[in-house]
Amino acid sequence: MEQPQTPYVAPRRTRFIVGAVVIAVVLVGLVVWAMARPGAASMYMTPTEVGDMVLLDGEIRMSGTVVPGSIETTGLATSFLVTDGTSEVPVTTDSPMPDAFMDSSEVVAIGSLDGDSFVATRVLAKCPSKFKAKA
Amino acid sequence: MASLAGLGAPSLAAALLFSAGALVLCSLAAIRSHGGLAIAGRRAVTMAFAFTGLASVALISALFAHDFSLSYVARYSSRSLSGPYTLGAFWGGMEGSLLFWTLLLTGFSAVALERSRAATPRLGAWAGAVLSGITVFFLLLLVAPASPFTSLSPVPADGSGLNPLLQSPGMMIHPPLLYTGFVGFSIPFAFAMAALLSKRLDPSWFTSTRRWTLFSWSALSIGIVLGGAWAYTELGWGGYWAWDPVENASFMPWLTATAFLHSVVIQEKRQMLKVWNVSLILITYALAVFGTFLTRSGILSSIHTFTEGPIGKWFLPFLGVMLLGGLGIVLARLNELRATNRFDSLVSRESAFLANNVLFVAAAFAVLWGTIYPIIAEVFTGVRLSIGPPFFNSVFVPLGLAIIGLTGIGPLISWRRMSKGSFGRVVRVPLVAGVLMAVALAIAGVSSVGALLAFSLCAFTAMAIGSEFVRGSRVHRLQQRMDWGRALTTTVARNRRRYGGYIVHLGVILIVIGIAGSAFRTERHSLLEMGESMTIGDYELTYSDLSRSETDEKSINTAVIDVTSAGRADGSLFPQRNFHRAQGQPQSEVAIRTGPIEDLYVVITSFDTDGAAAIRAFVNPLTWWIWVGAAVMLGGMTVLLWSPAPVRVTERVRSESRRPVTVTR
Repeated sequence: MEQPQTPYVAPRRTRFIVGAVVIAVVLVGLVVWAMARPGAASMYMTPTEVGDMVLLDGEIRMSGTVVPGSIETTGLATSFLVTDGTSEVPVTTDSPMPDAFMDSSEVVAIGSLDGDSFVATRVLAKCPSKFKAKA
Repeated sequence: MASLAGLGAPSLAAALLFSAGALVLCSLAAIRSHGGLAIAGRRAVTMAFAFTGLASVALISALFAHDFSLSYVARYSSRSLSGPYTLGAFWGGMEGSLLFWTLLLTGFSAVALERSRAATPRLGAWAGAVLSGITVFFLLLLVAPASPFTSLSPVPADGSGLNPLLQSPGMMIHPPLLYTGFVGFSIPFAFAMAALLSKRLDPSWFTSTRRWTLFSWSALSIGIVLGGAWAYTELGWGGYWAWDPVENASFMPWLTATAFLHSVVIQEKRQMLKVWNVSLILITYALAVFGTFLTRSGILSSIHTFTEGPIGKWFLPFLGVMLLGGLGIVLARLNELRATNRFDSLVSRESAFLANNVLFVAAAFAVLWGTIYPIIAEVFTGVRLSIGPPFFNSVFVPLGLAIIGLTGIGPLISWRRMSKGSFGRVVRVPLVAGVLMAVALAIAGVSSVGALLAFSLCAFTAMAIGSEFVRGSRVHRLQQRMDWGRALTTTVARNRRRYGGYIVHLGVILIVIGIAGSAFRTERHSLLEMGESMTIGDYELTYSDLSRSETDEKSINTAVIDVTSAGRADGSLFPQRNFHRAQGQPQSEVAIRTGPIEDLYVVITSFDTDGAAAIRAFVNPLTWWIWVGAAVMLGGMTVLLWSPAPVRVTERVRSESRRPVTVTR
């Protein structure tokens, strides 16, 4: 890295401030760029909010509990109803279901709305709060 | 069976009294420079430790005696739980883990204060006051809102047991290690605050606690990797890191602590960055406490926040007092913290260290942003958001790659300044290695830019570190006529701080290679009837048999998956899907065939009603190197911890003096 020898050198404080500003701008730019990446930020909604939405773009996370008795499995496909006590939204998915997925589990379905049905690419589950534990 | 549960609550009350006493005694001792009071303060700290220990024994004995009259025991253990996991239930729930935290805190405090009494008495008194203040907070939580000794009525016949996910060997070690790391940072934090309070701002606060910092950092590092190993072998999604808020909570203090470990070297050698260093340890400790808060408050949804405890609201004021108090005292001492040296040149070891710090702190900030952004967004806009892995990966890959490159360059540059000629000479060989790696991979058909860069930078840095070992050993070999093996061990043993650090760096490189391998991960998910096959990569997997058995805890279903690799029969894998009776929950047990080239990872995600198994399979290239890298890091940490604390810190560093290469070539 050959640098031309310049006789003028900026004062220490100026160089420090310029350096700090450059670093801050690069970092903020990196964060802003990363936030705009697909799948980086997704809306977190209840089934009622999902039901009220007319148009929804992008990835949504819908959280609620599994309606007991609503789970149906055909091959690798699973369908079930998610409720927040007010509305129920049908969810279909081909993704593997977590171990804690069962009647009354708290779930987060990650995916998008297709007509009236929620198509999930991934489902997270927390077992019904019969027992608690921490990792 | 009788348990000692009755001793628990009184012991905690006694521990609280002693730590409050220690707070008063140590503060008075510090203000009045009174030796007798300091001794009394240290004894009170030791007594607080003894009584916290007694409370811990009480809880553990209650767990082993299946004393379900304690709500905690009923919630986190059961009669069928095996011995080690019954002990694991001690830190398996919120109240128990707080007790465990406090046990470590009081124990570490007692040892650190005892050790500091001769060398730094005044510093020790202030540090004792700070540590006792923290202890009082945790004991207050344990006495009132989060007591592990709350009784339950009526007494149930059996407990609900520990979450089956947590019944894994990794879970016996991972939480204690993380807590050790988190709590261990209390010591350098307390001594930093003590240095500010007592205006003793020479490097003794961090040189006398250097081993604590290293020890805590090592425990945290290994704890984080073990957490990843646990996720990999237990959770069945084929990965080891999900940027879950609680994972982030352990990672953020690790990032700032890593920055701290590096930047204190500049203060030690060059008396610079004093404000920065006290701020870094303050931030690290605040992040460690914040991590505990995140885990315990349930404010963010996470796999870890099963326990939405009532104690979240207590942590914020504590954190606030700590941060504001810490910042206030740093500002009050700004004059005393002025650097006695300046940066001489952009191409210098100091600049490399500074760049390292900027990158680590930027990374910590980015992770913090992604972790708390959902909370901020909800407060200000009412919109609930979730920040996913794509954000963290996008931010982290560039920062991580820059850090890896710098890991290679930093040690090659001399202190103060370096001429372009000598810089070019030392960088040439590693640079060639990096370029060769990129060319070789490109020819082999690797098209992912991230992976190409990662592997090239790893080759560059590994070569740079390797050449340091060669250079050091060559000197010993020539001067003392040793063979290469002896010369290498002598080199490492004579300068354990430097070479221990290099070994840790090599471990990090291996871990990065393992992580970069995930760019080539493949995944298949198929429903297989008995006798059917699926293919993934070069493997063909055939579901050939199913066996069932029963234990007290669970019904076990073991599938036999015959593996054919590149057309040749290659043994079998035995993934399980079991039903845990106490929890009424199924649990998959992953089958992994691991190796340096790639892991074959097979998990049964469900059984169909007519017996067909849904099989999810992954081929994870190079993942094996993550665990090997962690083992190498552990080796380097051992060398570092074994090295004696520096005796004199004011030795002058001359430009390019430590660079035998410029002399010998």
